[in-house]
Amino acid sequence: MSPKAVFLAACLTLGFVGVAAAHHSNAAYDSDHPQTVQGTVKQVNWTNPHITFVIETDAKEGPQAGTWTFEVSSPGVLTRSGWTKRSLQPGDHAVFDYLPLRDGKPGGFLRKVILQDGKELTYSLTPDEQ
Amino acid sequence: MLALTGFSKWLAATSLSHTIQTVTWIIPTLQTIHILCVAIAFSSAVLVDLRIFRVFERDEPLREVTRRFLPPIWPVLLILLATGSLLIIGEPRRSLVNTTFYLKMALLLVAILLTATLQRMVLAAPEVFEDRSRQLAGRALATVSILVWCGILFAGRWIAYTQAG
Amino acid sequence: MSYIQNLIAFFEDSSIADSIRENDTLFPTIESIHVVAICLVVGSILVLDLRLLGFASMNRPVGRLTRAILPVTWGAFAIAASSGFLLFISNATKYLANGYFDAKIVLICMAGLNMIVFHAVSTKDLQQWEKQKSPPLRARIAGALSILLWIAIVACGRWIGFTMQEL
Repeated sequence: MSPKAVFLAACLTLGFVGVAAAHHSNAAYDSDHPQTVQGTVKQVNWTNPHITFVIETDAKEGPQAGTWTFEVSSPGVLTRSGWTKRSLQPGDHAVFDYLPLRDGKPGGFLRKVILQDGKELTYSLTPDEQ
Repeated sequence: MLALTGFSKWLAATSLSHTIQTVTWIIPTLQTIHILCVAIAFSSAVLVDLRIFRVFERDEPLREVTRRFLPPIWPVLLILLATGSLLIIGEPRRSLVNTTFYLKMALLLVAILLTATLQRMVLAAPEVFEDRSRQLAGRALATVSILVWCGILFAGRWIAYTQAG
Repeated sequence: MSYIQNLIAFFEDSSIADSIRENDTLFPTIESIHVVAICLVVGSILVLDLRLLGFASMNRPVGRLTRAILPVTWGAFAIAASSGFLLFISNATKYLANGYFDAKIVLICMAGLNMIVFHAVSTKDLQQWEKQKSPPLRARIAGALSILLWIAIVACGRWIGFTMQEL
């Protein structure tokens, strides 16, 4: 058992170097180049520790086309900023203001949502950014 | 608040910050080292507090338990300072514009003062809490110590839940 | 396999799991309790491991130190396991699909096995070596292995948070 254990531990240690992160730390997003995209909500995952929205973008082709996953903060942060579980529902069409993934994959960190009726969904930012 | 936001933005633009942000394994590795060090510091403080309550190693004099467990906390805190600083440099907004982070730092200051005082008191006067009249003071100190140290760990985890990106 | 799937679904679809999943403060609080508990588990085990390696608490016979430390370890582990279970059921399917979560559970079992094996091979002659300056090789191996395993466990735990699949 012992040699196998050491081997496994070593493998895991080496494996960490090549981690392919699906959920990312905030550092994986390019905070200097926010973008926007239009799309329709397919799925809402209102879960701790991170809420995600799955969007079908309007673009039929090009780099913005396809199914995107946007990450936000936790339910607590959003509800304290006025969101509810039902603020965004599957079927809603909106404009999504986000920080793109540095590696260029389709997805990003959601900063703001502008709904069809003009209502904006955002969350607490520092004073000078409001 | 504005100054912190400005400083935070400046930090985020440095090349060190950029490296920490873009090399994907750095932040999880720093956090893992940070957690392991927290485990050492926290357990050391708590085991001595448990000895004061006479539920841990009651057959060992308090002075001996203190001598074994409290001094290692200080070099470990230095490692925590290093990993913590790199984490802040990597993700300045996560901590510098986050009230929970400052709560954690305040609690840490209290814990350092409390633990250092306890270490000095016990090593200087080993019988300090043996006296009946001092026993209550000792237990009060140990209780506050456990609560403050737990508070630091709670605040540490909650940083992620009060940051807004 | 279907029985296990049903069991997992039973917990994941429960109203408790629902609350933990969606409530503003429940998940962070349970997670914080989990962090406090694991810090005590790792910290207390480290005391024993350093003793087995001959690096610390050498004035304490191994048996006596073990009897002092293990209640702390087991108490903390019980809290870590319960809080961990509550966190797990809030998103059981996705956690099970996460390699680092699976590895963490396997490594915890291995750490337990390491403890059991060491206890089994050492009980008879513990009194002979527990006060010696230099612990026997098998004690040092058990101590070193334990440290490596628990470092890997903490690392896996942290990596779970960075590798959850979204869809």
